[in-house]
Amino acid sequence: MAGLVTGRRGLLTTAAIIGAASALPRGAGAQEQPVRGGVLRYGLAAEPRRMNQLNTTWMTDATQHMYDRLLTRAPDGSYVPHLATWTTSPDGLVWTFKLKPGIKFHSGEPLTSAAVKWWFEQARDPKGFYGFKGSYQSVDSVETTDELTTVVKLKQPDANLAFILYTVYSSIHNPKTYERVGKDAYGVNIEDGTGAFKLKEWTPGDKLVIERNNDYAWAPPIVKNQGAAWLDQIVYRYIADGAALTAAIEAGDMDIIVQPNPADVDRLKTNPGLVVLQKPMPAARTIYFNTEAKPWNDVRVRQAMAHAIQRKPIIDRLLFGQGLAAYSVVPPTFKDMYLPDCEKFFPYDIAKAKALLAEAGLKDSDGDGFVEYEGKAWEPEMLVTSISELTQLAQVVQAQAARIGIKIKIVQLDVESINARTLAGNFGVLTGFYLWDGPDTIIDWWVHSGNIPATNRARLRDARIDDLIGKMRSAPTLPARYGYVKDIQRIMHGELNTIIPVYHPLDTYVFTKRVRGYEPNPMTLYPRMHDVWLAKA
Amino acid sequence: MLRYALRRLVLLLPMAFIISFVVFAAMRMIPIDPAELVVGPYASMEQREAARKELGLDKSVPAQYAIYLGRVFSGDLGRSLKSGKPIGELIGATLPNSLLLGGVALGLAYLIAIPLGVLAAMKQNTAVDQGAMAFALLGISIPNFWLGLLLVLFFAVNLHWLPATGSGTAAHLVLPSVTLGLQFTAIVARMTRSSILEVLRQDFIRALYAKGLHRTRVVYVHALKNAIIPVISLLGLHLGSLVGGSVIVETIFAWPGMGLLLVNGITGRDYPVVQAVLTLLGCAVLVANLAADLLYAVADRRIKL
Repeated sequence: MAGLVTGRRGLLTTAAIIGAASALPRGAGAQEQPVRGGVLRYGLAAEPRRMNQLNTTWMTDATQHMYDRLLTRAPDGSYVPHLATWTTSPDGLVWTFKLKPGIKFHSGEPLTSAAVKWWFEQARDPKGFYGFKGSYQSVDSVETTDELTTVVKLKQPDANLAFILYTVYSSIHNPKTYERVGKDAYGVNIEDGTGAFKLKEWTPGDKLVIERNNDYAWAPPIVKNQGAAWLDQIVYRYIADGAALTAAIEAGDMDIIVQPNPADVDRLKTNPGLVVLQKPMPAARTIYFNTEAKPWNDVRVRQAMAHAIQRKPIIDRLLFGQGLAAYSVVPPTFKDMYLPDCEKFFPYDIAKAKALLAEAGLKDSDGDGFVEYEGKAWEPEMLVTSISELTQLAQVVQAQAARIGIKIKIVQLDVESINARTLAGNFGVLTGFYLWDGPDTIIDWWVHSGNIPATNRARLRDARIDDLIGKMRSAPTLPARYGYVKDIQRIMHGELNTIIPVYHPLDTYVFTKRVRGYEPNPMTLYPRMHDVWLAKA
Repeated sequence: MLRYALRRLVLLLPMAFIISFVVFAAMRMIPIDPAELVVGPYASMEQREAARKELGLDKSVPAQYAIYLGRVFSGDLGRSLKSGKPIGELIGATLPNSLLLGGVALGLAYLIAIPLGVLAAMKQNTAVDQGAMAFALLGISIPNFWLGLLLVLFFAVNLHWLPATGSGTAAHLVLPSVTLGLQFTAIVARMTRSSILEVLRQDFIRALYAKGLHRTRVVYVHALKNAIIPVISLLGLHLGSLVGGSVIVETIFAWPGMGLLLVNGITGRDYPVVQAVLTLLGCAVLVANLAADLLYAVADRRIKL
């Protein structure tokens, strides 16, 4: 678990995280022999949704285990084969996937290249509304040359195709079953994937049960257990109330819970029967501006705000220490694409912030402690949803902005209204967040001018950024791509400040000491279950 | 009585229509964009538009209502946007759980409250009376979300006697039904007490004593029978708040009932589910009120319907 966190400023937090991990039960190491059997009771803080990536953009943990992907991502961030090995032509334009032989769907039918071709067609279907269609736009044609081989030709090189293929949103399904039951019913009561677990039953509001696939013999190379899973079943229960979720594991109703209330974490750490494991989430909480709204269109005003934000009190008080200071949209755990310079661009500096405001013509001339804009009192609105974490963040930002003379007015709205207002460009400041294990694609979605207004709600139009994103999209190799990602961060966070990152939250997992082999990875959204087993009580 | 019941049943239909329309209209007043749910926050404008079209949200509100009603009459409540499950199936799975929890809570309430109320009335102004009424006051005052958490902390987390959340066994039912029923128990106990006290002052009671009947028989058979009517009408009056309470209790205990279905639907912006559950709950309150009215007639023969 060492090396989970590489953030420089997060050293204290890092120690705490590793400290928690070292509290793993004795004998959890190599000498203990895993045993087969047992039902893992898993408490979720987010409700499971339909398990069909063509119909939803929120995939449940179970989908990671019921379905497999062509390739996967190793803990170091590199891509490794899973269902298929692959080669890329020297010009980066031809990707050839060769399926491992002998792979079967849960229905018993063999996995062939036809299913791979079918998936590419679904993802690119012009009439479909698959949420990540854009990530497949470099694909030109897909052909099968034999039962196991699929050749994908690209219009332009796209090293990041590997990323979307690794995500749970590119899971491979049996086209026959899918077509038979239809888009609406697939992934609801029926699935036909190749994963280590099969869907047993799902009653929304009650439980989602998956059971071991005994035929499984195609685990990715990065897990120890290459055969069928150790666990008989995983029973997921969704508990909406944070206090109830914590009580459930303390009362012995659960073996694992994820995302308890931050305020409960310290108490859970002192419970001798429990292990608390934390890792940075591939996510960021941010403040962002509408670059078309006056005076936020003036880069100096946004820079002043960047100088006014103090991250440490936010993390200590609001998150009870369970977060990492964020200086870039990219979390520092993604070290290949993270630009450490971001930590130095806009240090906390009230005097400098005030000077920048004055330069932009915002001065406090009536002596009330707040600046005026164009001679009139200025009270910019900050939109926030009712999620308590974000409303609290908004309140702290309001207090911090007041120190440089900006009198922010918090406007709390429902998600729908915020969505409507930000799509229409009718806002000034917003507290925002993302949760996605491809922070480089977040940059693409959030700041490329072609994505106004759908995902670029900051409405940023910057020729340099557009040019760099264009190069990033067609980079032939991942290192080349990540180079551009760093260049973009330099402009985005070093100068434009359309988005001010505040913190990266931590994923918190609490489990009983019976649970072994559970190792969440900071670069992925879902933990793997191949190596998890339950010790006898 | 049968004619009265039938007439009331027929009158329920327009009421049900009104409920369904109000709920439908309320749902449409929210600027619903299912795009976030179906195509996600990273989708293009074309993808959002395609999703709206597929969900029929590009049509006018009256047209949407007409389509919705047509579907409901053909037995199709639509699918949940979130889980993709048919809403009929979701209600079918959660309704029995809610009825079980509500039934046990109500049963517990009456089983405890009526003897308690009678006892308090018989021992008026003694320590027993004051104790019972203090319990009732406490029961009315404690908010159920707080009581639920306290019970969990004590019986599940500290003592490990009962499960904190979930369903499946009788043990799972204990904490949620006590939490849901306590407030109602308190109200019923107070009402029973005051109602009995009122009846005991009436002439026919004196006549019964004069006849030489024992006090226990007078109170439990004759007085209680007459005092029970306002207690029954309480059921009709409080059913709405009981349904409301179940929403909170089911959430705290992750009890897979309709209340939880509603809460999850609201937080997940799963508007077809919210629409169906709200309409159904509204109609349930109508039916329950009718049932309470009919029960009067059963309890008191003087009432001719």
